[in-house]
Amino acid sequence: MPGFDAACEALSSPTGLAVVVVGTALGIFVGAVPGLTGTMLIALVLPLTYGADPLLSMAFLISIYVGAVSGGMITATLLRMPGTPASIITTLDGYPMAQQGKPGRALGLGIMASFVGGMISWAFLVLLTSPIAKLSSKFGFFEYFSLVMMALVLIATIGGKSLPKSLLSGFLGIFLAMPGINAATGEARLTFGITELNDGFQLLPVLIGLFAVNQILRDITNIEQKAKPIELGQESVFLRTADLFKHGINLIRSSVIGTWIGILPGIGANIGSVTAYSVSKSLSKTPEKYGTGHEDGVVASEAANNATIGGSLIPLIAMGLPGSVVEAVLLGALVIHGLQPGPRLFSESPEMVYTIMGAMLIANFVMAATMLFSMRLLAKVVHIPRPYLLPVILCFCVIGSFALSNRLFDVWVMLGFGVLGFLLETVKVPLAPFIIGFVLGPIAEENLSLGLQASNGSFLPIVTQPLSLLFILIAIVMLLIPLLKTRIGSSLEKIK
Amino acid sequence: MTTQVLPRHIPWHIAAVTAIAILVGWQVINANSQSSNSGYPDRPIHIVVPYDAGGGSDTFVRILQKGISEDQLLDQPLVIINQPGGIGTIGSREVKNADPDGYKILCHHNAIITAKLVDTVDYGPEAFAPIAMTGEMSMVILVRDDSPIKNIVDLLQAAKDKPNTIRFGANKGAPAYFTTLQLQKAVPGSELSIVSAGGGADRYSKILGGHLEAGIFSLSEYLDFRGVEGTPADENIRAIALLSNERHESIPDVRTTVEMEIPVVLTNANYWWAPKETPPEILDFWAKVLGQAMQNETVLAELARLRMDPTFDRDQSLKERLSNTIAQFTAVAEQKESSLPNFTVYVGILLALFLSWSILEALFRKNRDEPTAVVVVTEPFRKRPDIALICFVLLCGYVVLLSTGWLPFAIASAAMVALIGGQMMRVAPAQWVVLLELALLTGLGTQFIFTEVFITPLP
Repeated sequence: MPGFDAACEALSSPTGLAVVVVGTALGIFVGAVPGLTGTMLIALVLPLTYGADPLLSMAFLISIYVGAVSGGMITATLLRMPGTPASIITTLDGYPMAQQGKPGRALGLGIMASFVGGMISWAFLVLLTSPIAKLSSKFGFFEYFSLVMMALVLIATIGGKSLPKSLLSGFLGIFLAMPGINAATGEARLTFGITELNDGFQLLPVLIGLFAVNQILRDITNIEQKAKPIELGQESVFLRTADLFKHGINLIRSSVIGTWIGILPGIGANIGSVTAYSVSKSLSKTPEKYGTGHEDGVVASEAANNATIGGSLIPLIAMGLPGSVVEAVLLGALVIHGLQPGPRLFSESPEMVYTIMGAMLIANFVMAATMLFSMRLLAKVVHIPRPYLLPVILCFCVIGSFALSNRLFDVWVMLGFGVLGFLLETVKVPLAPFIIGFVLGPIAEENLSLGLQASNGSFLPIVTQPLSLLFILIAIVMLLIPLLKTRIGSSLEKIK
Repeated sequence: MTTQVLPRHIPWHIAAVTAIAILVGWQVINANSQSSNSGYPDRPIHIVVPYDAGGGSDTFVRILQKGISEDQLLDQPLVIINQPGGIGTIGSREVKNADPDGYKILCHHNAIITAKLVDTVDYGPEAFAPIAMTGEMSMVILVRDDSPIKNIVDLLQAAKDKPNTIRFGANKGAPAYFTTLQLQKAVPGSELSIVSAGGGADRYSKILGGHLEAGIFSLSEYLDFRGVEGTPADENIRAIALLSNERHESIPDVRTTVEMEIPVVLTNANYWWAPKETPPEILDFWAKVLGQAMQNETVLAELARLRMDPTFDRDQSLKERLSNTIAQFTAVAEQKESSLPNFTVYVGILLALFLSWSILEALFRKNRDEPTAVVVVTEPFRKRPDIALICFVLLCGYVVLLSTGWLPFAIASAAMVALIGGQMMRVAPAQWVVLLELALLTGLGTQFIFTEVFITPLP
C-alpha cells in the first residue's frame, strides 16, 4: 500500500508518539475542564502547526479530538457539569452513581465504553472510507451541490431543537461566507470597499470567535457558579473482564449507533450519545433505572460519543465534507497544509489517510491508559482557578487569529464573531448549523456555479442526473417529514 | 486561606520566576545583538508569499531561501510570510503599501497582471518596482486519454463546429483564463465553455470523471497526474499541446501550440517585487542575491525535480518581458457580464424568511416547554455579564494597543492577562502573585515560542 510505510514511520518515530501522547493528554484536559472544549483547543493549536510537518500536525489534532471527547466524562461524573457537550448524557447516570459512592466504577465504565466505542468506529473508518471515496470520485458539480444541500437540511432537521432557528443559523453561516472574491467569477462582492474583506471572513478567526471567545465570555458571565465535587477516594477505576461481557451488547449497539450518527454530516458527538442512550433505554427491561445511576446509561453515552469520531472522519476523508464542527476545523487544517480532502486524497496523499487512521487508533489506546492511570490527578487538575486560565487562552486566541495571515484584521473578525456567537447562543440559536453552513455554503455555491457554467446556465441536471436527484429527494423528505426530529425530541423528553 | 494554599505553590513560584528570568535574559541578549549591525540589511527581511504555505509559490520561495542561506548570500534571515487570499491580492497589497526600505518583498507570478484586468484590484505591476524574474513553468493542455481530440486544432475546431459544448477548465481571472480567450481568438468563431474548476487536482478529477473535456495544467501537474504505462485510457490523461515556442525535454512528443500555428504561449513565471519607491541600490542588491541563488546546486536540483526551468531575468529584458505579457493579456481582456444568478440575493431572502419564522415561533410558542438536554447545575448563582463586558473591552483595548505598536508585544500581553484575570478575581478566589507571574510568563513565553520556534512574526 503506497503511503502506508510513510504513515507508520511518522507515527512510530519518537516525535510522532510524543505528539499523539501530548495531544491526547491535552485533549483529555480541555475535555475535562468545563468551559473549555476540544473545538476551542483544536482551533487554537491549528496556527501552531503551520510550519510543522503535515502528518504530525494532523496526528496531533486527531489525538486532541479523541482525548477531548473522552475527557468530558470526568467532570460530568464528579461535578455534574459536562466538560464538553458530548458528555451531557453521561451526567444523567454518572453523577448519581458517584453520589451513591461508586465514582470510580462510573469512571471505569466510561473509560471502557469510550475505548470500545473508539475501536469499533475505527474499524468502520478503515473499512468504509475507501469504497465511499471511490464512489464519490464519480460525482460531478451538480452531484456535489445536491449532496451539500442534503447535508445542510439534515443538520437543520436533526441537529437543533427549533427548526427555524437551525435554518436561520445555517443560512446566516452561508451568508457570512459570501463576502470576498467569488471563486467562480473572480469578482469581489459584499466587501463594501474594505479591501481586507477581498478574501472574506476566514474560517479560523470565525471559529476561534464563535467557540473560544464566545465560550470564555460565557464562562466569565458564569464565574460565580460553584460546584461541589465528589471526591474520588481510594476506589479503583479498573474493572474486571467480566464487565466487558456484561455490557457487551450495549457496547456494540451504542458504538454502531454512534458511528452512523457520526457519518451523517453536521451532527456531532452529543446527538450520537443522546440517540444511543434513548435506544438503549427503550430496549431495556428496566427503563425506569435509567437516570438513577444505571451502569448501562454511562456505557451507552460514552461508547456512542467516542464512536462518532470514527464515523464523522469518513465523510471528511472520503468526500471532503465535514461531519461536525471539529471536522470543519480539520478540513481547514488539511487545506492549510496544501491537501484537498476528498476522493483524491487517497491517491495523492495516501500517507495522510493512513496517518489519520493510525493516529486515531494510537490515541484511543493512549486515551484509555492515561485516563486509567492518572484519573486521580485529572480529578484535581480540573479545578485550576478561572482567573489564571481564561486570560491566557484569550491571549492565544489573539495570536492564533493573527498568525493565519499575519494581519490584525483577522483578530477583529475573531472578536466580532465572538460577540455574534455570544448573542446567538443567548437567544438559543445553535452554532453548529452556522459553522457547517459557513463551510458547506461556498462548496455548494461553487459547484452550482461551475455546473451552470458547464451546462450553459441550465438547472436541469440537478434533477436529471440520477445521483443528484436522489440527494435532492432525500433532502425534501427530510424537510417535509421531520420524523427523526420528533422521535429524538420525544425521547429527550422521556429522558427528562 | 492564603496560609493554606501558599506552601503548595512554592514549586510553582520557583519554576515561574526562573523561567521569567531566562526569558528576560533572552530579550536583553536579542536587543543587544540587533543594534550592533549597520547597513542594509540590518534586520530580518520579510518575503510575502500571497498564497498558502505548501503551495507552488511557497515551495518555490522556500527553495530559494535554502539556496540563499546555503551560500550565505545574506547576513540576515529571510522570514517567509504567507498572506493567501483574493487571488494573491491580499499579500500584494501588503507589499504595495509597505515602506520602500527593502525589508518587505513580494514574490508573485502572472496573476499580479490579471488581477487588475478583471478589476479585483485597481493596481497592477506598475505599482511595484520589479526586481527579477526567477524560474518558469511550462503549461500544457490536457484531455482524457480516450478523448477523440488529438491536438489543439481539433479542440478549437470542435469548439467552432459546436460552440459552448467543449467544457474547458481555466479559472476566471487567472492567467490561464486569458490564455483560453487568446486560443479562442486564434480560431475565429470557436467558443469554449470556460469553467473555473478550482486547483489542478480538482480539474484533473473533473476531466477523469467526464465533467470537463479539457483544461490548462502546469507541466509538473501533468507529469504528476499522468498514470503509469498500461493505465486504462478512461483513467488517464494526455497532453494535446504545450503552450510554448519550443518543445520541452521532459515531454518531447507533445507538439507546441506554435508548431500547430496557434500563436498562443503561456508560462508561469515567478517575479520578485519591491514597493514602488525602493532605492535602486536595494533593487540591484536583491537582483544579485537572487541571480546567485538561482545558480546554487541545491536550488537547481530542486527546480529540476519540480520541472521548473531555471531562467533568470532582470533590468531591461525583465521590463520588456513584463510589458509583452501585459500587452498579451490586455488584448483579450473584455469584461463579460457574469451570467450566473445572484446567489447573494437568494440567500439574503431565505435568511430574512427564517429570521421572521424564528421570531414568530418565539412569540407564539413561548409557553411550550422546549425539551432541553442541558443539565441544570446544582446551585443557583448570580450571572455577571458586567464582568464579561469589562473583560471584552479590555481585550479590544489590547488589540488596539497591538495595532498601534505603542507597547512591545510581551508587555501588552502581560498587562492584558493581568488586567482581565484581575477583573475575574473580584469574585473568584485566586492569588495576585500567581496571576502576575502567569501574565509575565504568557507575554514573554509566547514571544519566545513564536519568534524562535515557529519563526512567525507577532503583532
